[in-house]
Amino acid sequence: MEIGGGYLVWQWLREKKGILIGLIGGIILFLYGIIPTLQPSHFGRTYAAYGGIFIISSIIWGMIVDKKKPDRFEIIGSLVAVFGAIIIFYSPR
Amino acid sequence: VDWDIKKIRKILITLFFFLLAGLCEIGGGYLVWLWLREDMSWILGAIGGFILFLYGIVPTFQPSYSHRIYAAYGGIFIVMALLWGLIFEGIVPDMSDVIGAAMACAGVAIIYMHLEEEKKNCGRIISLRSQHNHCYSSAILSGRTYGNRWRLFGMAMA
Repeated sequence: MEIGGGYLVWQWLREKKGILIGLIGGIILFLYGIIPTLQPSHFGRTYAAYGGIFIISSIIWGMIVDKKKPDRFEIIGSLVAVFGAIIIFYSPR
Repeated sequence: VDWDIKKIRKILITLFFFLLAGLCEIGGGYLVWLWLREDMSWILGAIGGFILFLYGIVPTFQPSYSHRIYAAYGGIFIVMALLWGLIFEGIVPDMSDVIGAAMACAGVAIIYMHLEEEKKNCGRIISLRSQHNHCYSSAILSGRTYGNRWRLFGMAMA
């Protein structure tokens, strides 16, 4: 959702698509702000773990929307990042 | 590594926009969080939503293209989120927070490694024109041919 919203804003400003696209992007970004509040952890940790997921989703997003095939380094790198996020969020405390 | 001024400036600009984006995103998200989780005024939530919209604009100032930029930003984002929790909520990141953050940053470094390596190889075999052209365009367009790259790597090593 966040990347989707960011991507729409990107389309608006960098690819000269209509302002409507940019506005929709803005609304999606706002919705995105609501979702993490549903998580059962405190703010910093929720957002930090989310950052790891964010890394792999941007690679996947690039793959699907921009048709950039991820290379070996991107795949390994994003897996490592996700693993880091899992440690942050799910390690027993 | 040739650290000329231009390169350093580009890195600094990139870093600046990352930090700015992180502030907008985490700050905006935090306001929305205060509104919904801490039962504060909806005005905070609305301001947060606007800041999140600004956050969508910031990365468009980045000099290079989208999905890998976003990945790198994710690494910076993690560190900033933990710092935010430390500063505004007074929650000290524990051991697994730190380890996880370090791993995520390592992941980002790996994602970026391939580009650097490709550039390096391109520099070394600049005399082989066709190879160089292939390499150059793939560094820019991220077209991939593994075999070729590893062969180039071998040549560069030799």
